[in-house]
Amino acid sequence: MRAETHTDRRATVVAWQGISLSVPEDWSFAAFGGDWSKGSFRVDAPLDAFVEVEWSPAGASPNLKKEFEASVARMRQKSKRSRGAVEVKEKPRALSGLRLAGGVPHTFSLRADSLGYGALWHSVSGGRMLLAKVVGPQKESLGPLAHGILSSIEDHAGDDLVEWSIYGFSFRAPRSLRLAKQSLQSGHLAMELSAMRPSRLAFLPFRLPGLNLADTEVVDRKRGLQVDRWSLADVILKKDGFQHWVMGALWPRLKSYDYKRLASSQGDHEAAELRGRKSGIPAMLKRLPFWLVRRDPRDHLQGHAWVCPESNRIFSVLATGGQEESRTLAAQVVTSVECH
Amino acid sequence: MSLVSAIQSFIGWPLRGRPQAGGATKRELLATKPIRNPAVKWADHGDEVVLTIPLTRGRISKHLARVLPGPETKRIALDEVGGFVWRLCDGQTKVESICAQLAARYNLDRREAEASMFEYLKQLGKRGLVVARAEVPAPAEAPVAAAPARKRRRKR
Repeated sequence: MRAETHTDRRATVVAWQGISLSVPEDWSFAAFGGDWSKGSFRVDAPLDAFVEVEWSPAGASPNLKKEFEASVARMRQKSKRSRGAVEVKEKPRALSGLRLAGGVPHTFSLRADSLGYGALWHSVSGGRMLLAKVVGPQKESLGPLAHGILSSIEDHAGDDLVEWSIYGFSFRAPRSLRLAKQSLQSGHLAMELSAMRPSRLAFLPFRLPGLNLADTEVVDRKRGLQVDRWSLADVILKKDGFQHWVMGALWPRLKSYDYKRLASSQGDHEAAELRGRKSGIPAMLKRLPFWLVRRDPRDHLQGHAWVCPESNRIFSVLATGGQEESRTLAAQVVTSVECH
Repeated sequence: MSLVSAIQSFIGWPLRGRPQAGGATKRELLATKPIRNPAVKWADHGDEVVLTIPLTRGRISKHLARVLPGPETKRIALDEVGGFVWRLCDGQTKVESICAQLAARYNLDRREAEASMFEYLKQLGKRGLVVARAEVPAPAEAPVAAAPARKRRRKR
């Protein structure tokens, strides 16, 4: 009898911090940590299996063997703390023929209370070192499943547009935007992405002791993106109409803008388009020098919100920045959202 | 509570007839069958469900009630989603099945449905409105009056 692989079942894509992978449809994003340069995330099966992906910055030509030994030492230390022994084997048969990022990864298997298959490789396009492992109960079917999941992992850190996809909510955003804040609640997913700019310290003509100027990127609060998805649209829109509700829901983000709502449609869906600029006297004063040098002060807001009856969800995309920049960004992200 | 951390919250959910001490595993939790407290009366009001909960009285409030008679019950209206879950807490339907039905009815992601369910059942459990029946048969217990949300411990 052939062992079941996840490609036999319907698959779903999980994409986080530029790394995407395909997992069985009933698996879901469960934990995350770190940021674009170094971090990890975990995707859980309904009961007792999971896949964990870790990434860290890599040099020009990292030593895979050395990295692998360091990873194994970390795993052994972890298992020692939990009073268990972990048995690591290199090049397991289940992962033979695995190719990642066009190369042969360093593959291994783990055996402790449960079984695991993993791979370590260098993503040249993303400039990152990736370690992924699929852990589950000690069954024969885990090998083909791990092979399927690991072979689907891609690093998009080098792409212009990076995909974000969790809990069936996916969109594409420019690589220059980094995740600044997120709120992943049942019924409401919100992700705030901000552009990064070099810190003013990076332009200093001398070096400050103990300061790595390459790391001195700071969040550019003027340019950003806020993407939201609400579930249970039929319930939340029962009392208020969509146009009324969406203004209330987005109010915390709109209150500092002088905006207007325009008639809009998103395919067949009821939609709202918002355009505005920062309001108040301080914002007007900040605009003055930009007006004198005829430059865009980058205080514009462009937003789109729509309700999708097919998926019973409400979506909103708000982009801030220059006038053209925010309009292009919002339109780009809206077209990438698959609402149903 | 975040979607990711909500899953851990079910540890505090009261499980009657739990086969082992300590926190319940997710598998155990999904296999349990929540059952409504028979002391709580409930009625359908369209999409909403209205619960009538008998109030428990302490020694002092019992004496006070003779002088100043207050309400003997309190009413709680559950919204559409809450009512949907409440109707399924019949002691026959597993948490897993309720999650699946909730996800199908409102087009929710499995994890979204589970996280909402665990949090909601935890709240109902804290108030004594539902208890969970594990697969292992539990000793028969008399229906208990719903407990108030916060119960103060008497100092001895």
